[in-house]
Amino acid sequence: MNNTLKMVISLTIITAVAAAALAFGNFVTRDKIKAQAKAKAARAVKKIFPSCQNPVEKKVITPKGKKTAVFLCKGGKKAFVFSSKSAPDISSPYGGTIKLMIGLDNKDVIKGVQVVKQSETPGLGANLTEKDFLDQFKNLSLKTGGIAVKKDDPAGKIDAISGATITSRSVASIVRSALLFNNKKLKKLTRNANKRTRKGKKSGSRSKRRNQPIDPSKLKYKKNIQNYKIIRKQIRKKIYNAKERMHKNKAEKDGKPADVRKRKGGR
Amino acid sequence: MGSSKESSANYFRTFTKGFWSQNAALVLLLGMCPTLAVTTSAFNGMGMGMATTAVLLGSNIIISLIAGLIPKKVRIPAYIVVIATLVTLVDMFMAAYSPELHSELGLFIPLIVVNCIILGRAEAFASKSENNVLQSLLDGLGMGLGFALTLFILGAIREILGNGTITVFKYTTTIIKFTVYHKEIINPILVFILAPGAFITLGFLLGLKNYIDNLLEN
Repeated sequence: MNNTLKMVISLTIITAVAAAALAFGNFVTRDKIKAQAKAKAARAVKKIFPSCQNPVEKKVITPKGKKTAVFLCKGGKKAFVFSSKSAPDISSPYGGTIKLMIGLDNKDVIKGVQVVKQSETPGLGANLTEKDFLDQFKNLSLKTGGIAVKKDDPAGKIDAISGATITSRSVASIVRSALLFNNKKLKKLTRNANKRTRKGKKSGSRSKRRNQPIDPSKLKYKKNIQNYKIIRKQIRKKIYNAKERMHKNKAEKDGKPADVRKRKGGR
Repeated sequence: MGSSKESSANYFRTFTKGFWSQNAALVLLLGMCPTLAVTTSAFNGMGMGMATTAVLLGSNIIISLIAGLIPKKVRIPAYIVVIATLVTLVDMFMAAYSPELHSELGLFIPLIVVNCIILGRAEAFASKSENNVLQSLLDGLGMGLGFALTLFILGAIREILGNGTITVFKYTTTIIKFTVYHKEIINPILVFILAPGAFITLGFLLGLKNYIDNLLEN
């Protein structure tokens, strides 16, 4: 009995001291670890856009439902973090996750790609951080195409890292789906950000203000409903008109079926 | 312990045995997981060795201090709690102050907990009543540094043969890296960077060590 008690007490004391030490360690390093991660991202932005001072950081939700950081710079430039786990259609890397920082200019052309995190095989896949490989993505966009490894796609413009095709393929697919993601979600963000900066200096021309959508929260309730009713009426009218026009067109076409067939069938 | 001369020689032997006669990686064959997995570059090997040394030093000192107070039956759980705490602390401080190294070794740091070297030294040396704190400290330091040196050599051989470079130091953007030969001129032997290369290199190192030992005996 006495022995058991001794064991319990000594183990309790040891674990309590250990817990206190861990709490202290966490307290000391927590902010520093967060700052390190941020500094790393900021360094990557700086490498892509050396002139970009104090970018505005925003959080966006990726296609896979996770948060990612977007850094907005002046002149519509932006850089954002996209990883191999950000979208479902990315071909996975050889080991772990690859996190890239992708910089785009205001025309959505790639201005630079930096590796934020990777755990590829050292000496092989880990060479993806080399400048020669990453610079291949410069000045490509969805319009120019070719964001694919030459081996996979005859139109591809990316030379794979020797001995690491899987890694190269993964990087290319991350960049590609990052651009698609940018088209879907980020374009709006940059536009809004630019608007805000402009607003500070000048409140915009009259026509611009007129074109801005009405903020429903600013309207009174009754007015709101009135607006809604009017809009509904208009829409109904439009639909009715369109239907009528369609019927007319159809009748016309049915009247001259030979013409239609000719046009459709070609030779 | 007899005269001071005898004891100082004893201390010296406690420190140096980790480098050669009781080298953790080459003689005791402990801690094979980090030995094989992390030594893809010289710097990675050294980093892992240094992290192990830090934990080993701390655990040896603490366990040597508290060994008398712990009941025999619960000593292993007590050691593991101490070691796990130290490893977590090393992990946190590494992430805070050397994120580059942490991102490279990230996976293997938690594995130090189950690294047999540390529990082995705690059980076989630090907890013994005939070894005092200073001896345990020297034992931890010697064992750890010997381990680090072995990993460094292993990593250097693998990196030179497999990639043609040798990375000595790496911190954020500062990288000290020497090119031994150019990849365009001599094609590096890729297998040395990959997992089989670790086994091959370790095998040759073990053989070399035993060969030198045999030469010294005769």
